[in-house]
Amino acid sequence: MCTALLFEKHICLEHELLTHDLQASQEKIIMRLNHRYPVIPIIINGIVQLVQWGNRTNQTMPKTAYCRLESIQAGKWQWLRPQKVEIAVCAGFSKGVWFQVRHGLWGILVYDSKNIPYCYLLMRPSTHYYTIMTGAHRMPLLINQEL
Amino acid sequence: MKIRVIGHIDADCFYVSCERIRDKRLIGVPTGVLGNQGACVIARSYEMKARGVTVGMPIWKAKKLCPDGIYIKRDFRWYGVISERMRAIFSEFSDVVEFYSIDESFIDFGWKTVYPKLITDWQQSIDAIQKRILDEVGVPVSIGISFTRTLAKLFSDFNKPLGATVILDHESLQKILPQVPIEETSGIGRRLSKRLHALNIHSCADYIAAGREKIKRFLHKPGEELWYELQGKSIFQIRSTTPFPKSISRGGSIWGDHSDTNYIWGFLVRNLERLMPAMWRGGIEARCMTLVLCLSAGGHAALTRALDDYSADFSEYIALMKECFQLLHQENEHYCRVHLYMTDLRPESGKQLSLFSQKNHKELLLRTVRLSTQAHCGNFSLRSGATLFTPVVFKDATSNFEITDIEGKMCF
Repeated sequence: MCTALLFEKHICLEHELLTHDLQASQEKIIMRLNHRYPVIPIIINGIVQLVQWGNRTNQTMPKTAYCRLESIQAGKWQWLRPQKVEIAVCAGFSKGVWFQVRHGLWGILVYDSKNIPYCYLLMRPSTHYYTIMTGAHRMPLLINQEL
Repeated sequence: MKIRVIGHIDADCFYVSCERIRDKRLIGVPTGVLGNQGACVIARSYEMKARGVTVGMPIWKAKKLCPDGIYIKRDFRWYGVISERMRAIFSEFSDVVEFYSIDESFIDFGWKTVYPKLITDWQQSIDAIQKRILDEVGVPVSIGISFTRTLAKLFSDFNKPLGATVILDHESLQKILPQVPIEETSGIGRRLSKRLHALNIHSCADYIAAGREKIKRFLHKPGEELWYELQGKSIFQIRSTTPFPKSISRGGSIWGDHSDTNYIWGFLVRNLERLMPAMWRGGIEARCMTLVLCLSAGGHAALTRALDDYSADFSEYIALMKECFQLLHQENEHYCRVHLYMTDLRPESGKQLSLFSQKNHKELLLRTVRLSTQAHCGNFSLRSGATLFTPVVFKDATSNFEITDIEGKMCF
């Protein structure tokens, strides 16, 4: 599983960094899934926004950080009316290995009843290369990139 | 007086530099490029090298030494494009350029007259070459300039990255050679250097001082040639054209351990489809084919078969390969690698015409279609039905172009 993401600080809006207490970070921000409040940068209408990565506390939403591609294709997320979004990261971390992400990752964006957005990473079965590289059996869905 | 001037240009951490061209975010970050299976580091940045990661190191070991490093999947098509861009610039400096490997080239600048400011002028020239390659291609290179091919290669390794070393006078050469360990010389491997150390030869100067007779007795003709080269007497020529090969091969891992006949056969056909276009483009025909199947449990099975006459026809070789495969393959065995070798080669154009030989026009037409489709749409854009049993390989487009598919270079 992909448990951390790396993204550039300069792509995010200043006030968003301030809101999520990330303004003191280095040029590149490492967001781990076990962060107190994990957020990831997604592109909505051409603007980068920091959105909560997955869900740990809300009982009404799926308690996970990932969304299987097969389950979305089977319509299991239909009740949440998911939107496909681009996640603007430059590297992902899986089982101790940082791998390059050239054009970003695909994710889904859903809203709860209070209109709070949550982003889940779209996951697919690992390719042969990714399995050997990381040892993980599922990998994120990369945009225009083969791994 | 005139001296021969030979240059060696070596790109600094070439694969990583190529990746940094298209992804500037990698600049300054410890970066490693992984090989065909994603298991080993085949190139690493200087930042990663400083952490102790070596070329060929498995990923599980590298990630322990450099946990914050970013690992990238290799893309030989891209590296080939960058290499070609670099060579286009090199060819502006001389007509005699040897495409030694994907990231190394030798340039023969010819005979130059010695004058007082010669070294300063060459130093300025190579600085300009480095700057031009960095500006136009984006790859940092190290350059060595000297009297011979061996010395130029030796000096290009000095002060990497962006090293620039000019040794064009014998006085400087005498001063520098005692400081250079003999194992840094091209052609002296680990085993040979141990033998030389036993003879009390540790530096390049020791090697020269040992004398021609002694070196020839221990290392024969190649050692003697190296002895001359280290003294600045040019023996090895810069070859701007690739010599005619003695054999051509394709092969490698079949992506895991497999016993399925169709899957292994599919992989063999894929390798034949990589091998034949290389023969066609090189105007080569062969008579013998060797098929090697490597067992997962260790060991291998190999068989060589010959055609009645030289040929470059795909249909003849696929029939021959099937014959070998049926004889070699054991139903219950697991295999991990396959290799194909073509030997007994000759140029296709040098064939004597015969009244009785019939040209297979259908085969020639298929060859033309195959080559032009590949040129326009990429390798395996047109492939045999047998390869449908290996879908996993074709899903990954970057696997369709490997380092061996970059033609024209002298070594791997």
